[in-house]
Amino acid sequence: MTSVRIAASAALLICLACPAVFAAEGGAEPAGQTAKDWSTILYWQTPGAAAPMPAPESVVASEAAPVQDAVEQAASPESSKEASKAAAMEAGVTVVQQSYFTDALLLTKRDDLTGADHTALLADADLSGDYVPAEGEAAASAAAQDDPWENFNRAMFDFNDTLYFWLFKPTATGYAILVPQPARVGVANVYENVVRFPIRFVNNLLQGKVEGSFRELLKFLVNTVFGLGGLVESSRDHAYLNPPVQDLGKTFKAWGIDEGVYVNWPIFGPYTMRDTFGDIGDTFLWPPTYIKPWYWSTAIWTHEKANLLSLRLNDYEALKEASVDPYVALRDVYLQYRNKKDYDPYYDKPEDKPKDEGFVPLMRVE
Amino acid sequence: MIRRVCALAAVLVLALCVSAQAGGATDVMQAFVDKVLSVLRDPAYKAEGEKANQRQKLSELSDTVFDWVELSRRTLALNWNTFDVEQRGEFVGLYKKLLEKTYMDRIQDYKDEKVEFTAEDRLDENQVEVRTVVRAPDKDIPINYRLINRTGQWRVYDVVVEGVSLVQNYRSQFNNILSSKTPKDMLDDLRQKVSSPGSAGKG
Repeated sequence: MTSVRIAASAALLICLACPAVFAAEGGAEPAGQTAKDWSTILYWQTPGAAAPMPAPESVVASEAAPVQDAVEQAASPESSKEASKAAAMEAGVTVVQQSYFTDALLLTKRDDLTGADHTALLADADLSGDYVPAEGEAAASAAAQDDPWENFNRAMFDFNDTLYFWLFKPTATGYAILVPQPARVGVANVYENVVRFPIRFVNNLLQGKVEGSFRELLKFLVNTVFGLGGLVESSRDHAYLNPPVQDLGKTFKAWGIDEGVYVNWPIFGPYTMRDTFGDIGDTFLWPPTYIKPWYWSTAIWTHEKANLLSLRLNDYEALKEASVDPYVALRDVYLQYRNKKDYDPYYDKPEDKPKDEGFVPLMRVE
Repeated sequence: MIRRVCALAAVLVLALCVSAQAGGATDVMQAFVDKVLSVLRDPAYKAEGEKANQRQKLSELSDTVFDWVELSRRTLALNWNTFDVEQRGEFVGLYKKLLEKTYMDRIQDYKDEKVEFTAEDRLDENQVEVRTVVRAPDKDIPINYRLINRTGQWRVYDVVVEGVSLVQNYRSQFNNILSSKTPKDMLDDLRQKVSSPGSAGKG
C-alpha cells in the first residue's frame, strides 16, 4: 500500500520535472506551444494558508520560471512530504469551480480523499494559443457563406418572423390549450408513421436502398398493428426499425444533383433549391394529396404543421434570442441539418469500429 | 542520456494520465447530466426568488465540464487569430454568458425527460463524441457532446443537436459579422446583447 503511494509520488515528481527538462533540453521548441493547456498552473493556494493573490504582472510573467520553482521545491528533501501530499491530491481530484477574470482563470479543485478545496490561478496562456484549422476546413467555410439571394431571403425572413408571432404561434398555442399533449403526440405519430410512410419507402427504393425500404415497411406494419394504427410509435426503441429517414431531396443528392441556392420561402421557410423540388415531388407520395375536394389536403397539411409546432413552441424563440444574427443562425441550422450524414442506429454502432490503440491523451512528443 | 530520461519521464507521465482519465468522457458527461438534472428538479429552487441561485449553480456546474476557451477558439476559428489576448478573454466571457442566458431557460422544458447515453465515438486521438438521446414525448432528440482531452481531463468543446453543431452555427454568424466589422465593434455589440434583458419572443 505504502509502496504504491511512494511510486505515485515518484511519478508525480517526474511529472513536475518533465516540463522543466523539456524546456532545458529542447530549447528550440516554443514553450508557448506546449503550454497551450490548463497545466500552466502558476500559483497554488493551500486551504487555510492566507497566501496573497499574485499581482497581475507576475501572472503574465514567463511561464517556465514558476514551474522550475516548483520543481526545485519538490526536489529539496524537506518538502518531499508536501510533494507526496500533492501526489495523493492529484490521484483523485474533481474540479469544483472555475471563474474567469479579465486576464486569468480561477480554478478550484476538490480533493476526493480529504474533501479539501484547492484553488489555482491559471494565466491567460491558454488564450494566447492560436486557432489552427483542420485540413480542408477553410475551403468548406467559404462555401458555406454562399447566399446569392440574401436580400430576398432576409426580407422573407422578416415576413415569416412576423407571421410566426402573429399567426402561427397564437394558433399553435390555442390548439395546445384545447388538445392535451398526449393526444397531440399521438396525432404527430400518425402523421409521421403512417401518412409519411410512402415518402420514406419509395425514396429508399429510388436510392437503391432495398433493405431500407424493407425496414420502413416493417416499421409501418409494427406501428400500425401494435401501435393502435400509428398512434403509438412502438418501433421507437428498435434500432432496426429506425433506418435513416429518406426524402426526395436526399434522393436528388444521392443522384448527384447540386444543392442550388439557399431560399427562404414565404410561409414555408428555409429551403435549398434541391429540397424545394424534392418536397414538391414528395407531395405526390403523400396520400392526402389525392383526397377530393382539394382543400382537404391543404387542411390536413395545415393541421399537421400546427400540431407539430404545438410540440415545438419556444424552439424558434430560443434560437432567435441566443443568436447574434438570427437570419444566419436559421440558415446555418437548416443547411447543417440537411447536410448531416445519415446515422443508422443499427449499422453505425461506434463499438463496431476498429479501436485506435495509439491513444495519447495529453502530450504529443514530436 | 538526457533524451533517455525524457523518454522515460514521458512514458511515466502518459501512464499516470491514462490512469487519471480512467473515468472516460462518458463518465464525465453522465455525472454532469445527473448533477444538472438534480439541480433542475430540486424543489428548493421552485420559489421565484431562488431562480437566480439555481442559475448560479448551473453556471458553476457548466464551468466544470465545458472548455469555454476551446469552444470560443473553435467558434471564431481563423478570426480568433486576429483577436488580441485581451479581446479573446472578453469574448470567452461574453460568449459563455450569451449561451447560458438562453439555454438555461430552455433546458427547464426538458428537465423531466430521460437522458440516455448511447455510445462513445472516438473522433481523434484526444477527442471523443459522447452520444446521448433525450427522450422527448413525441420523439428522441439526439444530442452529441464533443469532448477534448487537453489536460488529462475530458471537457466539452461542442454540442451537436440533431446533427447541428453549436460551434459551427455560431462560427457562421460571427464570420458573417466579422467580415464587415472589427473585433472591437463586434465585442461592443455582443456586450450590449448580453447585458440587455431578454427581448425576442418572451412570453
